[in-house]
Amino acid sequence: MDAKQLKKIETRIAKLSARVKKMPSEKDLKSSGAKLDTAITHLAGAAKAMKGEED
Amino acid sequence: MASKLDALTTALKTDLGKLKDAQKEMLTHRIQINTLHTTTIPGLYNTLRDAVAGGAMATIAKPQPALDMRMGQIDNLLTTFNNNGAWVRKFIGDVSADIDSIDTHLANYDTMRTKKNKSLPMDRCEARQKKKTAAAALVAKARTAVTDARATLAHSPI
Repeated sequence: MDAKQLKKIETRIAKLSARVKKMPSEKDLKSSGAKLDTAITHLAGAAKAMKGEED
Repeated sequence: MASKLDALTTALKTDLGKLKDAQKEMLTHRIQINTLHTTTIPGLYNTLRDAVAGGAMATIAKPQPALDMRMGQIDNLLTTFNNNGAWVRKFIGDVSADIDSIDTHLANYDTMRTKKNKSLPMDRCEARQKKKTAAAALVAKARTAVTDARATLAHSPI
């Protein structure tokens, strides 16, 4: 292992870092999960609102 | 007997549950990637760099394969994360179709109601209409929530 090989490793790490920085953040992913929960809750509410009215 | 809307919303909730599972997996992978990216890999790199500076082969030999393995791990996790994102992009179409079915059903309910109204007292007609309006508003909110979630989950490939 010499400085040249170390530089190659640095380049590989930099490429991985660039990809990681493009990812959605943990906060965004948690928020998307909360939004899906909201959607499920609203749908349950819609079905409840119409209970017994469709026949 | 379950109503048509119950059946439609149950189908949509099942599909949304699958999306939620994908979201959970993506979050887990994001957290793992974050740890590797901010702690594990920099730590191993610094150890390797110091070992190279010291010039002793014995100390270089240890962190190098560990670093290689961790970089491979982060690469694999990024690929899996991308695959999940691609699946979400495809699957979100099914969820949209489910919501469209509910919208259509509620629109049809209006037609059905008009026919049935002839035999119902006015206050009963109004009560039915209020329920339908409330249900349609909730479905619209659900659609908005899904659209918002999609913006994050169906990310561009990284």
